[in-house]
Amino acid sequence: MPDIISAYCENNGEEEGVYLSIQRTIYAYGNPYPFQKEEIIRIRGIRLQKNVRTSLRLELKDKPGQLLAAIEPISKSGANIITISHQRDTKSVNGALIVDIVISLPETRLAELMDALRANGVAIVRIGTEHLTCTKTFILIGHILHTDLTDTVNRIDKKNIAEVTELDIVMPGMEEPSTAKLTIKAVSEPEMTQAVLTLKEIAVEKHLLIINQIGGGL
Amino acid sequence: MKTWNVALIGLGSVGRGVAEVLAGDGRFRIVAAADSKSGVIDPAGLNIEEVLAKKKKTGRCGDTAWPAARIAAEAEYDILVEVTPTNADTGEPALSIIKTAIKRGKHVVTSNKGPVSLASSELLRLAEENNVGFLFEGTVAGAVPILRGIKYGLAGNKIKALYGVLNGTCNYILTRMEEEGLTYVQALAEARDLGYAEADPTYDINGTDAAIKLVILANTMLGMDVTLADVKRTGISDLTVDALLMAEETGHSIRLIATLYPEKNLLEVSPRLISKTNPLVVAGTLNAVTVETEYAGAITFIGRGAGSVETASAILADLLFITDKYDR
Ligand SMILES: NC(=O)c1ccc[n+]([C@@H]2O[C@H](COP(=O)([O-])OP(=O)(O)OC[C@H]3O[C@@H](n4cnc5c(N)ncnc54)[C@H](OP(=O)(O)O)[C@@H]3O)[C@@H](O)[C@H]2O)c1
Repeated sequence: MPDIISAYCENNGEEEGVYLSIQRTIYAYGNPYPFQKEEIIRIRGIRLQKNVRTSLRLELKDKPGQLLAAIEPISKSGANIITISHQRDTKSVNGALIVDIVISLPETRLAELMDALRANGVAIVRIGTEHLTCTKTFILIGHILHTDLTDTVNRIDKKNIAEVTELDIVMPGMEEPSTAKLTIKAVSEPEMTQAVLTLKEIAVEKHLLIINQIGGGL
Repeated sequence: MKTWNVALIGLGSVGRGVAEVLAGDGRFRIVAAADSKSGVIDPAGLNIEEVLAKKKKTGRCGDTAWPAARIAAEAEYDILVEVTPTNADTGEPALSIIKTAIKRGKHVVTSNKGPVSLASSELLRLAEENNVGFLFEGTVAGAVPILRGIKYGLAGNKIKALYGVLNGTCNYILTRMEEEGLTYVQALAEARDLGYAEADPTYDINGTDAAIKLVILANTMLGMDVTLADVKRTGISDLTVDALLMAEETGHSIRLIATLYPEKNLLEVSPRLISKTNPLVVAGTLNAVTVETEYAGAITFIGRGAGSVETASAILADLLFITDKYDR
């Protein structure tokens, strides 16, 4: 019976709503590890991050092969390209080509991708501002995995209004309470308040302890 | 200089601290003292060292003929210092003792949360009718002058919110879990060994102790009228080490925070994620309270929330407030 010491789970791409259930593939040490529920002894860290849409405006030198220099790091990063518009006639003041790309990838991998693009000689002139500007982080303690995590996340998620963007779970043993860190992003305060109310309802229903944040940084 | 006669009810940790602090202060003379089973009086002033030595040897400070209630009702004194254990349900026997003293026209100073959280408005009204002082700085955050700080230091400011660390035991446990990766059970055992947690720490860890202090603040400083049942409470016993580790990843701690929003009538004690740069994130058994005010902005009080002479410091300040304000 293997002991999964470090595992993380990912959502794949653009799939809507459901993006983790305990029956799904867990990537242990980065490799797919299809486990059965009975096999798990403990999980030290299931981390899932939702893909976020990011729009990038890139400036490419008007030379052959430049588009590839932009596309290659993007596909290597695992991001999905949603749209790409490359207008031959719009050029920047310095004569570079402008390419607008909308991609989808976990937010935390964005910085890495930007470095890779720059290393390829691609200039990033604009990054699409995230429309979900309000962020709140919570810690949950209880039987999070046994009480239908998918349901928990789906009830909070309202596409483009409020979403669970990050979830990090540690389960020390199959029958022991897990601890999760959950980040919710919302377009503005009222939507956040609504999402938090939903989370509180769920916590009461599923006997989860919620630890919420107080104050800003001061 | 007048000497004020003090009756000291309770000779435990705080009572002995009071005796120690007053011994070095010529303005006060302890003329009566009591523990749970006995009492002793001497109008000329007790030799408190002898009284404590006797108590240590025999378990009693004096004579069973002079229990605390009789001292309160019959002995001659100016100020009664009431430092017996907190009873959160009835406030007794302290509540009756305090009422007896006030009705006799005696000033009262206490560090006992029971009577103050249950009957502050009645006791303050009674004190006013009898033209005596009734002060209780030591009931909230020990040595920290939070009550006087709000009432006088921030006089005239509307209090918009108040939040803080009001239980040193929980703060100690959470600090140790965070620093050393101890489990809740291990950290509690350590707190017990060091005397930071009582044999039965239920009231501390389930948030009741902090909630009682919140009730005292709400009723006596913010003009509210609430009881313990109005405070939503969540304790710290279900917290995991993983929760503290996850908090740490983003520069946060988890602390038991009491919050009070007077306008929304909202009182709560619960573990909260709090940025490590927030001044409320204090180490060990310290207490800390931030008061958000109308004009002064946010003000944070930090200091020792418990301890023998520390709590006696708050009691001494109350005594001096009385000697300053009243002739006798
Ligand atoms: N300790 C602190 O740091 C601290 C800080 C802030 C507030 N407080 C509050 O201050 C009060 C005293 O605390 P403490 O730590 O000194 O408590 P403690 O060490 O338990 O001492 C309590 C004292 O009260 C006596 N007593 C008990 N029942 C009595 C009765 N019916 N009549 C007369 N005396 C009685 C006890 O007598 P015996 O000696 O015969 O048992 C003992 O001497 C409590 O209400 C506590 O919540 C304490």
